[in-house]
Amino acid sequence: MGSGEVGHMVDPGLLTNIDKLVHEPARLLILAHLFVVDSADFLFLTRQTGLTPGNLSSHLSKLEEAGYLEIEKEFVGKRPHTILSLTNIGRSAFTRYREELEQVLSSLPR
Amino acid sequence: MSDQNRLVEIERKAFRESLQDGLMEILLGAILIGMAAASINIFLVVIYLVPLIFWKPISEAARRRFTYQRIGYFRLRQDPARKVLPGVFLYQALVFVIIGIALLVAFGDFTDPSLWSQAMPVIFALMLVGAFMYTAGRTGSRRPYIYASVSILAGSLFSIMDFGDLDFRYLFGEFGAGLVLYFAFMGTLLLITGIIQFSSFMRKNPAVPDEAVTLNEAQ
Repeated sequence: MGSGEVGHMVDPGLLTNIDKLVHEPARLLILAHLFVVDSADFLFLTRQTGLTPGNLSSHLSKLEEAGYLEIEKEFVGKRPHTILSLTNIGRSAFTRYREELEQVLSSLPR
Repeated sequence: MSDQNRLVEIERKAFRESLQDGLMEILLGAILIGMAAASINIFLVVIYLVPLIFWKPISEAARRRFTYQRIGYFRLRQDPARKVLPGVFLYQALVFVIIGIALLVAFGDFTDPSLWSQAMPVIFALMLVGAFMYTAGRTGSRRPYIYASVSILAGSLFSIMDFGDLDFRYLFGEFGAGLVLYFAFMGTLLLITGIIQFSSFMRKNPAVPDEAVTLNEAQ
């Protein structure tokens, strides 16, 4: 099957609708982990996603700027502690992304 | 694997992480041992009432002290009580129905209180099985299945064993020695496995440097 035929089958509108902020693999991983918990800290996400602290930090900033993440800073004794959770906007964006991706994938031939 | 299955697996993994420190086993073991001890001396009831009533603050304080600085902090999404409680009550009712039928089949009578007293170890064993199965479902781990199997075996064994007229007085009535031995056995088992797990967890997961240091290093 040629690539031209595939192009006819996938509605380009579906692909352009995909949220690029969520679609990036590292951010998708972060969002997926935060989606299944109520809240988590930086160390938990570093261990679960396998991202380096610097990389994780930069992706978290992007997600926070978009309003997808809520970052809460606190001190436990003298140790700084950052707690992250998805906002309602972030949860909706992730759910919407899953639905859109599902649509794109289901429009592809088996 | 569909993305829904992947999310379930991520959730299960997070749940497994939350239980790998062995603290839940230690607390549950302490409660069961306390329940056994309370039959010997009523004042020892404090051993199980304290962890039972203050389960949440005790486990949270222990995790803040030992767990979070090693594997990170996370709060799992809890099923709402209105979704969980009907299932719990239904399960408990089912346990009593099953035991009632078993007594009827075995002894031709399910109204004799002494038969119910004799069956208490297996009734409590089945109650614990419910909790273990719920945990197994949420974690995908095999360990709760082992606890559930041992619980049923021990409960059945202590129900059919004859301990003569040896009875123990509880806050909630008088029961045969089988129930005390069941509590003591399961409590000790959970406490020992919990302590082993806790030691292994502490050895395998050294405390991570301050978050600030980690972040500064990343810049």
